[in-house]
Amino acid sequence: MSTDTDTTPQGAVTGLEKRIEQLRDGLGVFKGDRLGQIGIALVLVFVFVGVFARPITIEFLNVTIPGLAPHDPNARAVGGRLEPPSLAHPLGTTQLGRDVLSQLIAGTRVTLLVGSLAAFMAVFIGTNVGLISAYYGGWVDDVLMRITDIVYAVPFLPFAIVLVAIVGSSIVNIIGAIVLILWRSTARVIRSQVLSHKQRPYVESAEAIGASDVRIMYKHILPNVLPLAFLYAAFAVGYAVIAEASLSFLGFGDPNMLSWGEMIFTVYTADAIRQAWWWVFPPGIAITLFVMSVFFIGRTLEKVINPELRHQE
Amino acid sequence: MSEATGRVVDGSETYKLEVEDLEKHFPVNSGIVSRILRGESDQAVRAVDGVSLGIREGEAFGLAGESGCGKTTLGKSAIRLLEPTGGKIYFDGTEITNASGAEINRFRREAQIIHQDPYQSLNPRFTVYEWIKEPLDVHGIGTAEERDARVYETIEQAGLKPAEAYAPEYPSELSGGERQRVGIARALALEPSFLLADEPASMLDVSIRASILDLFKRLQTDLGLTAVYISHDLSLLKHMCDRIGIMYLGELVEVAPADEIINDPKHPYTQALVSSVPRIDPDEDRERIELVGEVPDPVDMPSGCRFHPRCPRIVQPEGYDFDQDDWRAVVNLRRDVLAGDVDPEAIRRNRDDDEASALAIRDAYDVPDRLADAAADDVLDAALSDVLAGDSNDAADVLRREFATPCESGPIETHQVTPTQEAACVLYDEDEPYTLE
Ligand code: SF4
Repeated sequence: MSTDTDTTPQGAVTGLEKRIEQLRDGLGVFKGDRLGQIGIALVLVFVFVGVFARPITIEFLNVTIPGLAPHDPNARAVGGRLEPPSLAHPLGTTQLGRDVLSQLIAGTRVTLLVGSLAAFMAVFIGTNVGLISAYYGGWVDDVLMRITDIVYAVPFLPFAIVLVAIVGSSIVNIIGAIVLILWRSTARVIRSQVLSHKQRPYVESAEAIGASDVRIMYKHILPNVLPLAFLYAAFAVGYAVIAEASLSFLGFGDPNMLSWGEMIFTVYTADAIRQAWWWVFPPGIAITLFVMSVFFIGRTLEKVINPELRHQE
Repeated sequence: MSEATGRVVDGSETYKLEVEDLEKHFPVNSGIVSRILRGESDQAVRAVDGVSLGIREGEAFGLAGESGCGKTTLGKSAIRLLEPTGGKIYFDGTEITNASGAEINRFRREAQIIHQDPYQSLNPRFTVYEWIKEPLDVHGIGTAEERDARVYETIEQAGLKPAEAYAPEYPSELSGGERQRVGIARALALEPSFLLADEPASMLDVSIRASILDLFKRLQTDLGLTAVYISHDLSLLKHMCDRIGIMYLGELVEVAPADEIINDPKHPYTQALVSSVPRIDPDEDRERIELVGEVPDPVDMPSGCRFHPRCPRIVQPEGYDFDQDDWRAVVNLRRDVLAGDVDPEAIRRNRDDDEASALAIRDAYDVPDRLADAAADDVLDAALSDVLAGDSNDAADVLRREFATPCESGPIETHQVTPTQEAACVLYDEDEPYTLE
């Protein structure tokens, strides 16, 4: 930290190296934090499974990386109907004879896609709304925050069901519905952070050299509130996955996209929930594990932003 | 530096920075609830209330006063970091009060600020290099190589050597003194001609304070800067500045060359302020002037001279002749009677007397049992009898009429006391025979 003795470094270090050093410092919070480490490990596994779920063909090298799924998840009758787990089908089969393990692996990709895209867009919108609202204040703030309040009053599921019923249940529409609701919490939190940063003398330092509003907002204040945005992004991934699963389970999922929620929906409509435990549990456990691991990561990130939490252990 | 010369009275002198009746009021009760409950209020904190001041080319000007007197607000309003609510600002003879766009940009290149708090005034996400380069980027100065060279040059100018070692550091890796130098380097990058330093050393360790102040002095001579230093520390300002202005509650009460402010202050407030500065010279026997009373609420300013509720030299009413200390005590008593705040019963209880008495009230306010001036004593006696009889209004009327002082009414003019020294105090009104000595 800032002592008078160790402030003269040997030779120049480039800005980039400094950044990497900072990043490493930031990741240091995961050290000694078991849950955070578990979270990261699990998410890495999910990402790996999601990416390599189906065969990937690289055209110009003329190679095909084989997919992790042992069967085509949509192929019927690769086994018998509602077979319990066996060596050929480690997680059994569905009532149409599809391989459950293959479905689970394929569903990972959809889940990751929905989770990360929805979370990214929601946090992107929320951060900008919060930043602009707090920085300009006045009527801009009034208008944006009233809109945020209105969105806060909208319950997610009924809103998403109506929206999807009107515009059709494609994956894009589902992501859209999630984003339209999810940005609100980021907007509020970022706004309050920006309000406090706006008062700090470094912002006045920027004004004093004649920096424009856009510059002050995006070059000065944004980097200081970005860690908080990352935290909200982690949580948003979790919420988005839950939201997608809920919609799919209720039958409003994209019929062409096999997700974990969709799997449970199919079990339910096949009236096999009581009987085919091997079909229900895997997607349920996958959803739970994935959401838990992103929350673990979020919880650890929170300590970077709020260092007092580090001492509360 | 050179002995400052007298102000050219006909106003033909051009200043580097000049403010005219500058005003910065902050609204209070602007919350939505109180707006609904009490209606639109026109109450305001009058942080800067009608200040006129000219800073000469190349001089070092000090702005002093207790905390909360508005000196920082004045400084920041004068360079448009705060939007003034009234008055005019001129920079190099051009009005910039409402300047915007290219005009304000040009001004921003010329006038820079050094902040008080080196820990808060650097953006933690910028390296030293980025922070100092930013103003050059914003104003699009020179080519990329020229900017790069300028950054290293200013880092060294601010006394951080070798510049290459400091350039990639983040503020969190620097000490307070180093951060302040980074702030100075950033301010210098644009080669400004005017510098506002807001308590530039007050948050630093005493051991590094002197070196930062020396840096300022050197830069000012080397670069020919005009500078305004804001500080509550008069001895620091005397060391740094050619002229000093003293502020009290949003007003400028005295402006004079630094030596004269310290050795021969004219305004009673300055006199009190100076008397509280520890002296090195033991021969000097200066009486320490204790200021009594609270600093008034900036929303509800005293009428007339804002210092009159605390001024030890407050002018006596016409036709009476008090001992000055007694008069001060009588004024305090009078103020409370006028406000209806004198409660003989409470005074009696406090003193554990059997019976409320005029003597007890006098005693509570340090007014002697008998005033030297018999006529004045009669007036006071009559008023106190009224108070005891419960006729506070009558007492207030008598005291208000008989013991009126010019200090409490009307605008207080600023008088040219000596060719170089001006003070806002009725004592120096030549048309009126108030002068005591
Ligand atoms: S005007 Fe009156 S009260 Fe004010 S400083 Fe002068 S003597 Fe004191």
